[in-house]
Amino acid sequence: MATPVKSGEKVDAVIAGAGASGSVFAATLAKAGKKVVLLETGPDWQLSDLISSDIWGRRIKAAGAPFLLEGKNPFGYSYQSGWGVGGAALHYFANFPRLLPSDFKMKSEHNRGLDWPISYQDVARYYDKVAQDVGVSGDAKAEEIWRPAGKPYPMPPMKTFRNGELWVKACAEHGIRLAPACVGMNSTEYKGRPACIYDGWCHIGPAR
Amino acid sequence: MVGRREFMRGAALGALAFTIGGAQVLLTPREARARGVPFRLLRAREAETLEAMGETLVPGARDAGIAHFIDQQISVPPEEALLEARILNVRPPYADFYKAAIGAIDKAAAAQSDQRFAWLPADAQREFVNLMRQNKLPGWQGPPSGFVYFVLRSDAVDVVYGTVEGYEALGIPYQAHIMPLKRW
Repeated sequence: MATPVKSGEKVDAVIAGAGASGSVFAATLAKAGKKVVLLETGPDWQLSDLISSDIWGRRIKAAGAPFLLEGKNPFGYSYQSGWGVGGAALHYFANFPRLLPSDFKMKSEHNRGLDWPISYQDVARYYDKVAQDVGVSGDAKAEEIWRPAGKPYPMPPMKTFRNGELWVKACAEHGIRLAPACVGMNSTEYKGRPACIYDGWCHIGPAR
Repeated sequence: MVGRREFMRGAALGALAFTIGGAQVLLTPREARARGVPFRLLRAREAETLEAMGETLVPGARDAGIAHFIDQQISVPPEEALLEARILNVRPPYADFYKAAIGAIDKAAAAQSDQRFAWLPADAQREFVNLMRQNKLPGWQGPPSGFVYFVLRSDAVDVVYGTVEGYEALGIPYQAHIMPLKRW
């Protein structure tokens, strides 16, 4: 970790993992005046580590054994996992899709899986809060074809390049409606962080 | 030992730390092959198979040093490895996967034509790879052949085209926005 912790010092909270969730929890608690220790096993990555190279970029991906390789249901998971400060969110695809209202009622509506004990409306405001806190680019209005209305995203959608234009055109010709992906990337400067430079090396998503 | 500054400069050029006469030197895999750097973990015949397979998958991979690239990469701690295998759920140590893959290639080649893969004629090597990618090789015993094909093809692309020079060879500007100025 960046700051060694004095042995025996009392803190209000200890969080294991400095990834997307742990970091947000830690920041929220710290802003509320709590003393927080964030534990992380990997390197304390710096911006200079996020170099423009597909190959060298692999060093920030998980390096240990993919988890759950043993037992009856082995499951490899390293492609989207990270290690070190920032965890998987250090360099990731940054797609920020929301669950749909029907996702919370799979059992009652589709007789599959289980219903959640909460509904979309219970979490909707937190989706909006995270979008504001993290910084999400997108077109919330355009998404209302499949989700309830919410607050606008803090930044407009990312650019659509030639590849995307082809998809938009083809889908329009077949009556398929598309909306720009909502992503945790800066289409404009936001909270002191510059706009995305559309680095062609962004193999596994943007550097956060 | 290779110093940090020297290592960082070398990394930008695609150089890795190889061992010659007990000393570590920064070389590209191509240079390591040309200088006959001894392999750390691969046996000579395993390297020969790897070179033949790499050359079949991506022409130029042999001279680009695919065997030296993989040998060096499977010899370093997994957290330092740059292999595509790292993000494809291959379980470390990566040497286990590569040795199993190479063994499977040669066993399948022997079952098919009584020869090791490296000794097959070029057209037979291409047909072998064609079946391998489709998981249709008779006598294959090892990691799924289609997956081995995918991993080794990625390695061959990395070693031939993954460097600044490789991009220049394709006529594509490298256009790095963040070069490895430190810590690499």
